[in-house]
Amino acid sequence: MTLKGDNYSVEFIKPSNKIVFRGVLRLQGKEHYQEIYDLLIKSIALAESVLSIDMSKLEFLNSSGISSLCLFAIYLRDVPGKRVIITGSNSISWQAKSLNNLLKFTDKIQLTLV
Amino acid sequence: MENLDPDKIRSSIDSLLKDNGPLRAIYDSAETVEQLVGLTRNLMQVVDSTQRDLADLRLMHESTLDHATNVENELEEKNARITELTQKLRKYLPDALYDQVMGGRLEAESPHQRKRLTILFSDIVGFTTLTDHLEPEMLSELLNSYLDAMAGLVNKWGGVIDKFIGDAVMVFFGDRDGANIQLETEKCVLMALEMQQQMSLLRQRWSENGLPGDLRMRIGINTGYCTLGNFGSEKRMDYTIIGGQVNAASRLEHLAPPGGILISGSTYLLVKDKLECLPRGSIALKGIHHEVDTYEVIRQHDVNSPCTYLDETEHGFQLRALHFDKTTASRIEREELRVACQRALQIIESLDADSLDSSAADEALDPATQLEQVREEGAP
Repeated sequence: MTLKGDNYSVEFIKPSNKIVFRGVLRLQGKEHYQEIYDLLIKSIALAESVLSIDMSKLEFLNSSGISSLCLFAIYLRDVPGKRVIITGSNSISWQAKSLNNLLKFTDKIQLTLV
Repeated sequence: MENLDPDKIRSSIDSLLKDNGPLRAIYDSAETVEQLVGLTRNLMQVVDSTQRDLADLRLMHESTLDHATNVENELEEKNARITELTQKLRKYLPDALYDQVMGGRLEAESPHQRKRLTILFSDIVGFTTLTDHLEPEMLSELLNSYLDAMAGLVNKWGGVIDKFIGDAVMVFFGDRDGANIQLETEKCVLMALEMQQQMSLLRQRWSENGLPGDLRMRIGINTGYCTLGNFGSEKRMDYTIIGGQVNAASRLEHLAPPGGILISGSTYLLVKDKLECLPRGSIALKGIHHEVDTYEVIRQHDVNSPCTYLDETEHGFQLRALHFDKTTASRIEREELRVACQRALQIIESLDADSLDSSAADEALDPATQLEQVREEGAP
């Protein structure tokens, strides 16, 4: 399942329990992120125990986008038996700083920076 | 629970909920102590949940603020980097192209335009032969010091370096918005004079460093309408000028004497008040239908002198060396000479006005007889 916009794509690869974010995400407001949020919720439901989220190819994410990820972290807290591994990139400076904040919401998220 | 005094409980609740009408109404609906306890338990659960939500909201707010700050800082760093790069870019791009790129007008504007420009070509005589004899390191030192000096002068005089072709330099003036072609051309030719002076200094330096010290530079300058714009392929564009006038400037450079500056008649007309030039005949140039007058630039005029061939001084004037060839002299040159001679005569006649006026007979004599008569009289 793939969501595509002008400069971005979010792809759920079910066989490998993986979501891949690519490009530049600068949608306006929480409501425009609803589709992506719903995909995250659906993916965690379909995934086996661990869902991988690869953000290393996401060059830019605006504030509304990080808020949606925070909401997903809060949601994940109450999903039994599921964990998430987020992969970010050290070469995209916002990722090292901002993705780390998601760990404050739940211990079910693990962050790897490559 | 039976020991609890319902009135005391109600009194406590009244004081707690005095400002909360809806909650007070719920408590008022409780008839027994058990119902009051149940309501309080529910309320505490709501409070707990609300506190958790509030903590999450605070965390979300902080995370979003952190992220926004990170992105803003990154943006600022990138802006600073872009500013640094654009400042560097500015040195390499013509002003007009830089403005087009930075103003986002590159796509919108017509890719080519016609402009009246003054074009300069220069090269070192015999440089190609030299490349076969010199070690690459020495050649590199020689070429870099030469191009560096010339580029510095172009920058100083406000020209645009179109390209370096080995030891050859192609420069043009007049591309700025609202440029005055006369001023731009004067700057171009004055720059050429400074380039030749700079070349003398370089020759001295090269000689001291064991490099060839006898190299001479030729310069050709022409003024005319050129096609200016971006030429090339989709992936590699050059902001350059093309046209017959550009070729003419290149041809003038090839015809210039070593160490000299050869300019066309159209350039000469724009600088003749500022620079002393000698006519060098007319030449036929490919792409230009008529013959082109050529002039060799000698030096900058005395700023107080109104004529090309005449420098007026406090006590009279000084005529410059005249090289008049009636077979090659152009109309411009003839006019220049006529003006210089007339001005010289005016100055002489103003001194002798009284004596000339006193002898009406003198007027009938031809100039040679007049001169002989004055000599015989021994007049001062």
